[in-house]
Amino acid sequence: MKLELLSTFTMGTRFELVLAGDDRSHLISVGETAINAIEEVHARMNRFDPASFISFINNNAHEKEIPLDDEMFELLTASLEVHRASHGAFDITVAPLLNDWFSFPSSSQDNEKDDDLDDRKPIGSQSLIIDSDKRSIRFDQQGISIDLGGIAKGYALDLAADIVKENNITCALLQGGSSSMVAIGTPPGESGWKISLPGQDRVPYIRLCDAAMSVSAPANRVRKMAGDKFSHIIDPRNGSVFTEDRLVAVVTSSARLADAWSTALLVLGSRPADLPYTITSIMSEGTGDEPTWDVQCDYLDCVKGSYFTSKSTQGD
Amino acid sequence: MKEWDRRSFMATTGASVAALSWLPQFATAAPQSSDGQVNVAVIGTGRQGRAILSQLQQQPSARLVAICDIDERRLKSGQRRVSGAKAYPDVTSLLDQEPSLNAVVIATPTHTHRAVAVTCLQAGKHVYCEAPLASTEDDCKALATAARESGKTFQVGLQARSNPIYKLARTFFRSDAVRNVISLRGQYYKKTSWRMPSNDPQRAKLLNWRLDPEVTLGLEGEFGTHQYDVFNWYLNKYPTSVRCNGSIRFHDDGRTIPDTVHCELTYPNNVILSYQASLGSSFESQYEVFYGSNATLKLAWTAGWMFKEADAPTQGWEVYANRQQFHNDEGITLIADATQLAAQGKLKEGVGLPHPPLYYSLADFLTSLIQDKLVICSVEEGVRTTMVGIAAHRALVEGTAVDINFE
Repeated sequence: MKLELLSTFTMGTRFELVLAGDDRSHLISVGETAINAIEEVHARMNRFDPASFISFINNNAHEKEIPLDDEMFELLTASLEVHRASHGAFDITVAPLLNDWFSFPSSSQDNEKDDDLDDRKPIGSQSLIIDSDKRSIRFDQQGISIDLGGIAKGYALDLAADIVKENNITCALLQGGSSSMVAIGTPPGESGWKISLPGQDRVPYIRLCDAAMSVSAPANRVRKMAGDKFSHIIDPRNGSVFTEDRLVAVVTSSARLADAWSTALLVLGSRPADLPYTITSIMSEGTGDEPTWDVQCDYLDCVKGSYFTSKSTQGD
Repeated sequence: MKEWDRRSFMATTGASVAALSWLPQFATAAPQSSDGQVNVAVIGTGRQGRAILSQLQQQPSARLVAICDIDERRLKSGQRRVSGAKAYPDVTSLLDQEPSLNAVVIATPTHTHRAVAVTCLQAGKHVYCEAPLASTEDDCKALATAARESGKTFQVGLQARSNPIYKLARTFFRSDAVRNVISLRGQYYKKTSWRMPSNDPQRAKLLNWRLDPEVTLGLEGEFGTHQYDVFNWYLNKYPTSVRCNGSIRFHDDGRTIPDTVHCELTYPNNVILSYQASLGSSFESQYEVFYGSNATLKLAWTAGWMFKEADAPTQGWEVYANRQQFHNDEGITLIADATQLAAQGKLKEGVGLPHPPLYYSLADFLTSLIQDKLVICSVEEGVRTTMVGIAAHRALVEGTAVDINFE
């Protein structure tokens, strides 16, 4: 069995596909087709590209109804469903707030900061009017900008995984930004692809097989401005910047749902009691030598043989 | 293209192409539906077809009514990216069942363009056809004849002609900023196998037409044609002969089509275009360079630069221009609508193109339909440049220099 590694830089990060099989040229052509699919998603959904379809929606939907194709309709609908189920903790309209935080001059003094930023409230997904019969979208006010950054990476990986599977590749790992991934089959002789989560001394890991996983944490992207911490994650419910030392990994059937729920759970801090999705969640609090881990395994037995099962057999 | 450009083009090239005499195209039927929108179908929903779909989606004057592909999976993947368009598995059923159709965009494999385009023209549809136009000289001529006889609008997808940066750079070139043309260089480098996967051998053959020696024009034709056109269009001339070598440097997977080629095209006055294409490296991607005694122009699809010689006369505007350093050379960034942007203090925002070149090419096609204007790249111009691509491929296959004439 041969292994082929293909990669591309898109969506502001690196995507890697590891494909296993006997026919090298088949693996390469499948990998290239999958990468092309990822790049096509980026071209359609990158809100920083004025030529993308999402920019077209963002620039025009407050004036007129924009017809949606099946792909965009399904993705926007899925985003709104997670928005509702997470009680607003996942929100694709949070982008303008992110712009505000990141464009805030870093030289500002403390006394100027509060006035400008603490009043900012997100517009909220309720301002996106999606007509399911006509398959169209309209914004009920100006200033809305949809950012699919919390779900598009996973969606692109789902498309790539479909291409890999329909071309009879049964052993593969696809990942984007080292935070979203899809595992297809298992490496020979193993129970799953060994995925390490960020940790201190004892690196926690899980075994992923025929499932998708996404990891969210504000770590590495927290920056200090005017004495306060900032990160790329905003709590859409109140517009505050999320800087807790928390990490969330979600395992479920699709990378797009894993992406959306890992962001939502990071903000929520715990699973909603009425969670209508079957997901496995792994959450850690604190950054010390022994962060506390909360593991709820609803989707597959992917934590079997992992760090967490060995931990629990020690009498946890 | 401005009218005087077109006239000078005709004056310099018209006489030598008696077999393809240039005729103005007049639409004989209403080019658009009653509400001012053009009803469009896209035929061929592979990668290029899907790129066309996403650009048409943003054209206010286009109503995408249908898509068509003989491959079921491609048709489905196209269908996911359009709203309200019907899907057809063949051109005949598309034309039979969509009487309101005004125009088609053809993005099928090169060797199928003739059959598809002729059928659509005979059904009274305006045509935008991807380049190269065809893979044989006979098909080129048949297409030109069919387009002329139909009286329909026919635009060839040689996108550089619609690209705002290329149009701007051409005005510099035509106004003598480059002065003596020293030499020409172009390249297309992309690390990719060109192979499409399929478990079904028949489907694999269909999808991998670019690797099929029976029908492909190879790198020297499939991509070369797009880039030769930039030189042809700027110089208002066509090369008179071409030599081409190639080999398999990287993708040693049983293919017989070279993955790396070097071509030398000789223009009148012995100006040489050196063209390279490879699927084994992606370094510097795709560009065209015009070396001149006063300045050199480098064009890279969504960007362009002018490198002036130290002794070249100053034109004044360069003082305000954006510049970019390339090792020891400083390029003046070519920006479309620079004067307007400079007045608004937004010059830096104009670097690069807001839309892909394909967007402008499709917009030009729609404009020529709605305003009944001449197309930006006619079938005759497309045929000539395609013949250059065909000659380059023949030169590679035969291992000899091939003369190019349009008789």
